[in-house]
Amino acid sequence: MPQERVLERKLVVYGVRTGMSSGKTLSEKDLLKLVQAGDREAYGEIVRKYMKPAYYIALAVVHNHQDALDLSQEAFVKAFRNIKKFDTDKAFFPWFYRLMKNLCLDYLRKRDRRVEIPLEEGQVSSEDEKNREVKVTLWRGIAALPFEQRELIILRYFQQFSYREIAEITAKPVGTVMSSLYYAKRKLREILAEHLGFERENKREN
Amino acid sequence: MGYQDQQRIKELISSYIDGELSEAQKKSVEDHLKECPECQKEFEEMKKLEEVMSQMELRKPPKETWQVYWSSVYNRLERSIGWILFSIGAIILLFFGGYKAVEGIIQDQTISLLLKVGILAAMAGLVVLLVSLLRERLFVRKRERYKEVEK
Repeated sequence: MPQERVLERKLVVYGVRTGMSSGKTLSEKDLLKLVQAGDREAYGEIVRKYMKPAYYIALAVVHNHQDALDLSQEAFVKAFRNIKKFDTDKAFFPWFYRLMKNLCLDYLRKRDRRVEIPLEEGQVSSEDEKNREVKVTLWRGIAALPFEQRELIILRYFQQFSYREIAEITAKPVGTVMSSLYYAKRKLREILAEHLGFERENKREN
Repeated sequence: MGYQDQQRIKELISSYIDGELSEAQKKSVEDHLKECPECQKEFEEMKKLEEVMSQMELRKPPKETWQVYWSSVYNRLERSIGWILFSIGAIILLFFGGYKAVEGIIQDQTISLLLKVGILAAMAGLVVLLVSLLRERLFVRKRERYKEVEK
């Protein structure tokens, strides 16, 4: 009976939720099929799995906690409403990411361009103070990058995705990810050149 | 070495630092670094940048954020379904009420013809305005979606 199988699967899902080891048998693909059948509890598993990358990426894009929370949750709601359009043979996160990215871009267009610094603050000693200044400068540099480069920096250095994963998430070839990252880093390096004491030819002439 | 090759090797150095190269590629970058002072400098600077970047951490949200995250999403889902149902209900009630009112006005013998025409025209106008407003909203949304594609 299909009805029984659904129930059985659901139990496994609840198993995941309560941390029982039997829960591991349900793959993401199976979960997403349940979600497509309207199972909200199964969607809860998906949300719990991806809430952290979703939130942190949104935070790095919009720079403040409340908006990052709001946008990432709204993206999950939108994903649920559109879940029938999702191809379960593919990975969920890249699809979700594109959805959230559009929400974030919309939001950024409407908002004024203020840049807050959502970085973790360390203890303040004189040495940390210098370190913090470097980080804040770097953060401003990242915030000033074009979106296409900024998202790569965020995915690679704040979320530790591999080039291959980033290629999948952003629907670009790996080679493009590699060279765009290089150009983005080159810009950041120039922004930090003075702070980190890199020698520059034109500086020496002066 | 041409400009293209130079760019290529610099991209490779950047990927090398990110730990994204195969063993063979790693070896070729290492060999090149030994004999090229310019790329050696490039390597050191990029390495330094990577160190600073790897120390950067995004501010953690309040502890309870993760515990209530799913339930907030769930509430939003429920609320949106609630809104849809409420809107459908409200529209039905509005139309039904409007229909009844029109019916009543037409049948009411005590109201003069001019007043009837006036009331009906005002109501028809209101409906047209509502529909127009709704259409504009939907249209603007669609256009905005195209803007995203352009970007």
